Amino acid sequence: MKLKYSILFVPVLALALALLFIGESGLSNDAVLVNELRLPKVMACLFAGGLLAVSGLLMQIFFQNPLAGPDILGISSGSSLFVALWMMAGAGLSPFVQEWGMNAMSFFGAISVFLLLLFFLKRNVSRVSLIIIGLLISSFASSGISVLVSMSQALQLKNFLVWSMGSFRNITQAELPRFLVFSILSIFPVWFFLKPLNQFLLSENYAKSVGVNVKKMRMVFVTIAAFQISIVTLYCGPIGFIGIISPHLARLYLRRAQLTHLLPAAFLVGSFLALLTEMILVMTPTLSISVNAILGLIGAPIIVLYLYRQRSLSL
Amino acid sequence: MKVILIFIAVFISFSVLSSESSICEKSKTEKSFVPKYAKNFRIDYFRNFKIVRVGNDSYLLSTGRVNCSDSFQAKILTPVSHVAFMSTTYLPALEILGKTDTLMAFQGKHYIVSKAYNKSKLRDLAFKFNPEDLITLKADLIMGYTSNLSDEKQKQIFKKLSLPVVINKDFEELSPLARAEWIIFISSFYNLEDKAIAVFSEIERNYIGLKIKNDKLSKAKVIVGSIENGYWITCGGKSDLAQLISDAGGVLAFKNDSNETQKVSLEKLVKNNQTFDVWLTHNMWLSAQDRLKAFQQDNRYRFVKAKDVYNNNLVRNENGATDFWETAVQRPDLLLQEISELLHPQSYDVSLKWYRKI
Repeated sequence: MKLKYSILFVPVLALALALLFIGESGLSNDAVLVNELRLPKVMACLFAGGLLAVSGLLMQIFFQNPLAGPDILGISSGSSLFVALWMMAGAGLSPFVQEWGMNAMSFFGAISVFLLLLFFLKRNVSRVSLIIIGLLISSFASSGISVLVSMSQALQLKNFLVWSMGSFRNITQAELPRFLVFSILSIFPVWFFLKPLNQFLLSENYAKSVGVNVKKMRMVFVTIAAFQISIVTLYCGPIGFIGIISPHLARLYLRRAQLTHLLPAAFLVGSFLALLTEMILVMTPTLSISVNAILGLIGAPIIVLYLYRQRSLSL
Repeated sequence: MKVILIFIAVFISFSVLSSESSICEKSKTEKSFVPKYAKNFRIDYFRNFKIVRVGNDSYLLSTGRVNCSDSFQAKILTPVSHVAFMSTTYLPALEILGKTDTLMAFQGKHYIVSKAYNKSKLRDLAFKFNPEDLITLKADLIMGYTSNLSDEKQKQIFKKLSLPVVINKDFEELSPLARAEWIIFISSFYNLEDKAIAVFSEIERNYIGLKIKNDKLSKAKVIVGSIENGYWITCGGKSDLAQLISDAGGVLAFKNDSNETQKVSLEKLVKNNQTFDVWLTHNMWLSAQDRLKAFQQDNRYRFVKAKDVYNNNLVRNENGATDFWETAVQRPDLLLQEISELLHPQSYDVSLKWYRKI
């Protein structure tokens, strides 16, 4: 297992180091370039990619659904809708209020969608129905955003459209410590609740039978995953595919489902995908493509291939 | 035999009908107006009508009824007296032609900055066109741009309903003078081409005069844009703004071969490491204080070193819409004069109309 981790760790480290020393301006170890532009970007890839993967894994366990992910179930869209609302409504407020308002709205957006899904889950909605509900929530949020965009003034509209494209380069050196603190804070509880999570992984009934307070654990999962997704959405915009494909790739690679192994592996796969996307952007400086366009091109075929190989939707 | 005769009769009548357009189009052209700079329109004049061509579409304009078949996208009786516009860039032409009172509807009227229009009396049109809405409008002319009007299916509906919908492709032009030359296109619907040609000639003369003057001045280093999503977003090297900067005696940073907005890595900005004479930005900053706040929020702005910073939002309406995007396109001579003032303040003394120092 250690060897498997090491093999997974090497490409992540290699890509991270490469991105620290290679950029659009070529190979350089200029302190300004490395510290101020490349380091925040690399850390954003490592942690945002990792957080999306972990939140995707939590959602797949929690909803007992292999297709669950922040984008598929509408969590990212919900977060985006609330951020869009704030961007349009809070235009005249001070930068401090604007920034913290966006933090809060991003989290409320994500948790609102989670609670809605929880409501349906409690009414024994099937796994397929839950995915459909998630897609409908996503569609509702997108429609809401379209309405807001049509009502907004030109520059607010432009700011939102730019943000919604997603980018790992949004984080500045000054913002980096706060992003890292939030990220680490959101991962820490996952390790704390690893045991009940593992029991959930087998089934909710099993977790109940071994004395896990299912109701309490549900709320814990929801809050952690919503917090993780809102951090990424806030700092990088809505990022697709990493949340859903990373846990599957990690399972495929490890060939075992115990969370103690799966969680760090999914985190590393998520980081790797984010770093790979950035490397592609660095290598194609003249193309104006977005992070989400690259992730869609990589992610969609992978998920189709995975589903084809599995022939059934199992965890 | 009877059937054959009926078939021949039907065939002949169809042939006659379909050749009607060619009768109109093949009539002797009395004169043509081919723009000097604009590439996307021309006007052909006939004895009792004129044909305005925009790309593959042609519009029949006449003062009275002309018996031509419907091969034209629209037939419009001129001069028009009730018009609906979809872009603020068409509005200055109405002011120059003295026809502001003909505007009856506008798409997004809260974007209008000019005080020449009574916005409360204008009907607001939805961005997504509803043919029913346009029918009830009863306008003589509805002018819009490609992205919201050129869908072939939609065009067929407009044609079937005889809606006077016309596409204006001014934004596809690649030079400031070419875009301004579209005033002649708009004037053709008012039969005021002579006035528009005279105005445009003056604009052209002024523009060329300024360009010649600027050629003799030293070159100023100019940077355009702002940081968005971790990139430096700037204008393309072949855009009309890039041409204006060049004609104003400026050397634009990150010039490429495209007219599209480009994304430049911030690394290139750091590597560039030069102090520019002028930084032109198009964002929400209204003062130096706003700029400093933005610098505090994103300290990567300190890589942009410029002696003077200008934003194009000097005149805004109550909704924050900027006059620059409404009037500057129609007056490239005044815009060139203003940019020349920003780049060479020692050689010009012009009061600013669109840009504010921040």
